[in-house]
Amino acid sequence: MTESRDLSAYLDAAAALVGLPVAGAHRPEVLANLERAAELAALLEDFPLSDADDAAPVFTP
Amino acid sequence: MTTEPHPATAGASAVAIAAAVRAGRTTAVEVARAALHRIQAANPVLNAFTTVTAQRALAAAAAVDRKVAAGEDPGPLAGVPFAVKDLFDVRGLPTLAGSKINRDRPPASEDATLVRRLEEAGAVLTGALLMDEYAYGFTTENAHYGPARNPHDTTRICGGSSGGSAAAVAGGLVPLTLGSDTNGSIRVPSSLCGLFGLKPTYGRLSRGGSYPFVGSLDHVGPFARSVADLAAAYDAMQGPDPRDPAAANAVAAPVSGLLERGADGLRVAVADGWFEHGLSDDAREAVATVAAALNAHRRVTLPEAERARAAAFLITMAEGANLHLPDLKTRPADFDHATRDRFLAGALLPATWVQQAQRFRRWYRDRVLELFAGVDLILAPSTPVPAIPIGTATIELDGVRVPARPNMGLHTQPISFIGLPVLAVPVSRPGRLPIGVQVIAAPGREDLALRAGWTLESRDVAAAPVAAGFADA
Repeated sequence: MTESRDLSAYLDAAAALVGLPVAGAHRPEVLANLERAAELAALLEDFPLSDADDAAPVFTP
Repeated sequence: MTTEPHPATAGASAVAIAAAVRAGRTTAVEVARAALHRIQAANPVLNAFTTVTAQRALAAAAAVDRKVAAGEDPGPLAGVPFAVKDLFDVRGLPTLAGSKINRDRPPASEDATLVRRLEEAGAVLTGALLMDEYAYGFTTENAHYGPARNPHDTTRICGGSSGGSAAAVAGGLVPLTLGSDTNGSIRVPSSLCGLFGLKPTYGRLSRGGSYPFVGSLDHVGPFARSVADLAAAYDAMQGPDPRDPAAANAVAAPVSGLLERGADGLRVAVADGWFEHGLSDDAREAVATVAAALNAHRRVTLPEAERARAAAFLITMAEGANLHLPDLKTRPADFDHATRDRFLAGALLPATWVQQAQRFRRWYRDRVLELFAGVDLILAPSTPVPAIPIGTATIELDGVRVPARPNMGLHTQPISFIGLPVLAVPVSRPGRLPIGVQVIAAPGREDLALRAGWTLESRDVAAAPVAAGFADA
């Protein structure tokens, strides 16, 4: 189930932390994209993974 | 019986051109001149090319002709005009990758690996092709350079992000182009422009000298109007390349000689679940047609395909954004508005989301590979709909109005997510807008997908004629 999230505070804090200015005009679209990403992340968060499920990419020294 | 088109005409295949040039029945210069003439005439309408390399093309063609005259081997693709998505390095040009920002970069000092290999095979580079900015799109509606127009209906999109690559072939300008595919960017334009397109196994064709988008998911591959042409190009480009870590140990496995084995004996099934939803009648019918022709009576389930798509989406945002972070910080206004805000958001994703996506990817890859114990090929739609009008914001799928652009790649994204090889086949639909089907194989088994494509083509179930408005008189 998707809950509505207020990601504005997160956007501002994360943008500041990463040193990425998000101009006022871009903000609503960036927020919408962040919200979309959060919905998709929730689908994956739900998914049970075990200790044995390593990340797919394998580093070759 | 149809006569083989003259090698210098729009309808000529790469294989036929090469045979004619090798045999001295035509010259590479004549073929190149004719292609350049078609490009000059059609490009104001199609907007496929961002740069035409006319001088280089004529010089390369002349070099091919000198070899033929001297009795030397001019290569298996002798005289074949080709062009490449403008994320491939072309010596002497800045690699635009569909952007305005990249105009400021110094010109490439050497060709991309695949450009070099095609030239070594005798093919003749005619230019660079329009794409969605930084490959982040499914429609090739580029804010800086305009939309690429579909030769089958120039009010409609080509699909993306390799829209120019598809327009150039569907419009009969050149018989062969290269594109890239991260989440669908070869398969979507193949579908909307009615072409054969090959997204090979991840790491099979070198990305050396091409501008990246998402290292985890980027693939490169050819477009053509026949399976034989696709196979000839693919064979000329295969082989390891230290320039691309993913292709450092790529094994060349030539396929051209195997096509005529066809689909006999191959076990083919149709992907169900996610792949049967969000489809127009056109898409449903296309899959059914191909399934019938390949005796695919079974269904298989790719488990959690919706989650796979979600994971690919997040990885794409994160990796793409990181690549462009310096420019996002200093010159965000110079991005295409269609990519900028997605990249900005991508730079802010929590790491745990992306790591979760990569771990899920391992699980999904293992489950899907298990399916190939019981099946050789899996069929799925390439696009949910045929080409939509340029500028369309929403489409209706399963009775729900959804954003058009991201939903073009609904059925391609879960497949490229785990690097499976896919042949995009154009279903023969005379008088109707094109639409295609994905023929999906196990890693490394491009040969089986191409054999099935060859069967479909030989039975006229799949066909890629030059678009009506651009075909030879």
